[in-house]
Amino acid sequence: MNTKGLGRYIRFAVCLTIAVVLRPGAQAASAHQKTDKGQASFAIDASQYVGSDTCKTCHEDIYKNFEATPHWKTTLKQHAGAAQGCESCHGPGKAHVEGGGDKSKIFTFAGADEGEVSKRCLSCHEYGEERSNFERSEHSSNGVSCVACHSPHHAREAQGLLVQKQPELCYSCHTEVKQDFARPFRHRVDQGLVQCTDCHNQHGGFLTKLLRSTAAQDQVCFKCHADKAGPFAFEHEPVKTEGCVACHSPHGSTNPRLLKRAQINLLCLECHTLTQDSGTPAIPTFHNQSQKYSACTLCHTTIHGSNFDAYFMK
Amino acid sequence: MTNLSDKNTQCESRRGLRLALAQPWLAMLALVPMLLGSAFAQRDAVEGVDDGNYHYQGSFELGYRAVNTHGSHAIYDTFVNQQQGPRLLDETLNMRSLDHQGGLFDTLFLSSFGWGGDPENAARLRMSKNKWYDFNTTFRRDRNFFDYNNLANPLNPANPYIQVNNSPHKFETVRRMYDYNLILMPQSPVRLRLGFTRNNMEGPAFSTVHQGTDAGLFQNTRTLLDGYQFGVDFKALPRTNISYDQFLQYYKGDSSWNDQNFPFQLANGTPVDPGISYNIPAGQPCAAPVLDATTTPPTMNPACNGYQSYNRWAPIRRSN
Repeated sequence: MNTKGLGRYIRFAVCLTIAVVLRPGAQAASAHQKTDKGQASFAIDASQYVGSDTCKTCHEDIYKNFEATPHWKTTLKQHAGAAQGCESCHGPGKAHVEGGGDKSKIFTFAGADEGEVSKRCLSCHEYGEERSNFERSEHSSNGVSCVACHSPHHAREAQGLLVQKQPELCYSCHTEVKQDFARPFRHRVDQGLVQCTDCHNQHGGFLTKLLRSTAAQDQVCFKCHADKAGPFAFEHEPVKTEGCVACHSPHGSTNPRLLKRAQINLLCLECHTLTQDSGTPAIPTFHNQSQKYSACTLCHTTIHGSNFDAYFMK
Repeated sequence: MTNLSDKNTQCESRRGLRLALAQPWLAMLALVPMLLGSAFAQRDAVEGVDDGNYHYQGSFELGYRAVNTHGSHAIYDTFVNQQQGPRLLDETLNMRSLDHQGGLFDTLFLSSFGWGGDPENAARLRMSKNKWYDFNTTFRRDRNFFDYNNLANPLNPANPYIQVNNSPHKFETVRRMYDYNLILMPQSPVRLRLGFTRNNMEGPAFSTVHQGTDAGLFQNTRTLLDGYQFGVDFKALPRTNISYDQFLQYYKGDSSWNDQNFPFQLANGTPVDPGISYNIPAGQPCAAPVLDATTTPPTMNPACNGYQSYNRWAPIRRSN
């Protein structure tokens, strides 16, 4: 493509983008078009919508709960158009009403396909760094939809409309994690000081284990344990290359410093052993493990990194 | 003889008397206010009251924490660290504008727990006004006590001169964390995000330094991390969010270390610290550390490893 052709192509692309952005009701229409099976299979026909007041005549208790939640905002003028209030999520209700309350004539979240449920919620909630990665998250790919944790009508937790409080909500699936926090040394999740969502973004992200990162894009651990972040003049390489979990079991441990092994020496020796394959220096001969019963970190106190000593002794 | 635990007064200042509750009924009685508080809290949480343009829901749980410990208090504090006394165990306030068009805010949610002496306290506040802002802030404080003596292994030879009764890395630090996040115009195509976070940790601790021998040090821990965030989101295209974020972090480390244990002297009277590892067969601090045991304090062999003094202050400033 010559220069003239390229310029014409760019102008066309820019005009097309502007046209899409400025198209009246672009956001609202796109949101509702994709909510039905994820495809634009129904056009918005204002005559198919009955309004929330009609819904209220039969579902007064649900409407009362709905009225107390942030979702009530969908009835405000900014959502003017066909779909407002209840029908913002459930779709047009005219057929449902005319069918005498026939559940098959309206979208109900209970029993619906998990992907479809999440798509309906994400049509409004997918913007922002918190939830924009939900569709690629482990939760989504394992069939955990929004309503597995959130209940727009029957939430027990006003914040986030959660069906249960943290950490019990997370424990309801992640039972193996619950026992980690019952270990002698653990992060204080059960006490409420730390929440699961402080370290994990349950809606998905770019790291494994749905982990968050700090503002500086470091590991989330450094948000609280700032003194371990460095950079140091003498780095302990695993902190930077493998991360904190190379040595620590962050949920809980039998070791006082949440280490993976109960005895510190054994953990250190897993790397610091003379092998042909590893560049890790082996322990010197004067560290006779049959005589030394103290932890390596008794002397190597600044094991995460030091500005003063290459052997992390101060 | 120097007892390392004598130096612990700064670490022990918070420790109080513990009441042994031998009678189970007394412990049950102590739970009554908490149970009553919980019952009222549940009833209020369901009902709430309307006043003006707001609906109010609130709860609080008052209680008394009764503690009965036997055995090692150091281990209890390391594992549990919950002491005796009255507590505001939990408190919540939920305000909601009845027509979702409140003045300063449409919704406000405040919760906190652990006030009155528990090792963990937290307070969370969230305020929002439709289309205008979404603000949330968190304050957390946790007291970290650690006295798990890893020199208590009976295979370690006893030190007749420096009794190491505590962990050589004992600490009693407090971490305070503040988080503030503000989103302006959260529902508009262009929205702004502002954030500030502060992480402050301070308190007394023990540490060691190994140079010939392991000297027990008193460590005054002081670290501070301030973080600032500015971000903007553009929702220009469907299913597309373009964000720009700028983060600034400033770290300040002002910890200091000094040696306060000098159970020996040299022949000229200079105080000397042979370290906390005392294993003569292994040559720690040397094969014959005591030159004259009749002096007060004992005179140390000058050929031994030891410290005549140790002070270190390492101010660290970091920004990124």
